[in-house]
Amino acid sequence: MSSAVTSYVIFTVFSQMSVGALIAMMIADFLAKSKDDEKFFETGAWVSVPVAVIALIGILSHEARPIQAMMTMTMNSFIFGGTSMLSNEVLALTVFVILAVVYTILWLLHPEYGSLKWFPIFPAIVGKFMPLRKPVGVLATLVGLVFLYISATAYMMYTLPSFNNPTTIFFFFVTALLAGVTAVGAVLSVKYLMKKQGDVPLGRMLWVTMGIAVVMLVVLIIALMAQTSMLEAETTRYAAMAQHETLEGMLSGDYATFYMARWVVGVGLALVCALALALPLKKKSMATAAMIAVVLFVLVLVGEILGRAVLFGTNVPLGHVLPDIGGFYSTLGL
Amino acid sequence: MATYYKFLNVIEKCINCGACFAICKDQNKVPHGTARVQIVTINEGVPGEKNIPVSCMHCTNPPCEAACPTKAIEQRTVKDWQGKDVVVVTVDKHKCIGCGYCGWACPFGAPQYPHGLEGDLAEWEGIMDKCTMCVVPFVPTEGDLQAKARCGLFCSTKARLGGDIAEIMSQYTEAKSRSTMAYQERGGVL
Repeated sequence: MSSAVTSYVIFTVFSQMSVGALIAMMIADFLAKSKDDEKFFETGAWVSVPVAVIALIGILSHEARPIQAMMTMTMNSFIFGGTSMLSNEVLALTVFVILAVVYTILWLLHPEYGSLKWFPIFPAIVGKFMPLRKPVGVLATLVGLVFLYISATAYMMYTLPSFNNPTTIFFFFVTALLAGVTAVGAVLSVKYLMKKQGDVPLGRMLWVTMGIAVVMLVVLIIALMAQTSMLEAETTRYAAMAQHETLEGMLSGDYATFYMARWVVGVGLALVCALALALPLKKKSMATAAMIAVVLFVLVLVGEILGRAVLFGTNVPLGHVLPDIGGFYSTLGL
Repeated sequence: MATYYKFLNVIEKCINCGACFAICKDQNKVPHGTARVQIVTINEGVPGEKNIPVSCMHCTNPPCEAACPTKAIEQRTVKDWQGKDVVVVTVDKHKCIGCGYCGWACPFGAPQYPHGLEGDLAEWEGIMDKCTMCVVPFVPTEGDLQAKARCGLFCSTKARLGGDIAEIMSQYTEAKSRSTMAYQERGGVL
């Protein structure tokens, strides 16, 4: 796996996971029925922003001029409203991260139960803005969803035939909801296993996690199956060559092992794990449910990383079909 | 009114002598490992082998320009060696961040991202380089910009035609018909 592919994998998986984690916290915010519930859920607020930072480090690590990239792309995005799909993506991500930071602060600096309530002065100030937490969360969720859509369409160029189909959008949304929600579920589960408190809120959160995970895994199965058939749907000979190479790399080439492992770990085992979560949740056996939730997150994360490595690793841009350019010239009648 | 500078390749006439590659390297001071023009050989070593010099084609609606997040790539109107206003696609290396998005957008694989550069050239490590019709050398310099398309001027068989599209199109059509006639006279044997 090349360093560029690693960067794309880290950036896309973790940025999408960050959006999903924020959505999970939004859900938790609405699920909380008391201060005790909120206190239990608060730990989950630690996920979104650090994960977004990992994503930003990932993408900047492959730029030739990382600092200039950060400055010019962000500035251009704000000044010109996006000069390209890539700068639109940066703009959406920047706005999302700003809102996510505000939302996280409103959780972590809560004067009564925030992890950082020991901080001088700030909790008292933040406490006055607490009614804004849910609206900020809703806004961040909406911006996050816009970011996911822009991020997917940024890759859907006609010169990238393997990305230029609707499955790319599905993959990005699935990663966000699957990895993000299970990540928050896993963090809360670990908290429960360590403190043995919060049976009720954890139970509610894990039911939601299970529901989202099962739905997203079904969507993922459909998207994965559609992807291989859509990769054969290209009409131009030039694009078909690129897609053929992508399919070969995926099904029998360098990334075939990753592709199979993605199906086994990220889809099969994850689906079994997600469904298995229902049994301990029904029996109110929270310790078992918490352990399964942690395993589910690990399986999902490994599966998503493998899947994204396949997506970027097997991607063949039209420009890389140069050795077969004769086909292109002959289609033009030259 | 400015006209478009383009490349046309009479692939039947290219003998893979490498003159276009060499003159480009020499005149634009392109370092080892990076090629603004690459000669792609099809069916190498078998009857019917063909060679195609491939570089930036200076598209009329460049997808790389649309993809560039920093506006480093742009269509510019410059003077050619005859003093005419011509449109070419150039890259401002000071603005480029080396994101590689143009490499995905280009259908010809023209953008290059040099690696292993040392000394004075280290500054341009990973920064996109491509054919600019000889307007901007590998290390950008200030001064009058002039489009030349030296690869076309120095092509020994005139298989590579570069310049004002209105002018080279007639040369291309003539060369193409001649090569087709010669092919037919040989009874379809290349």
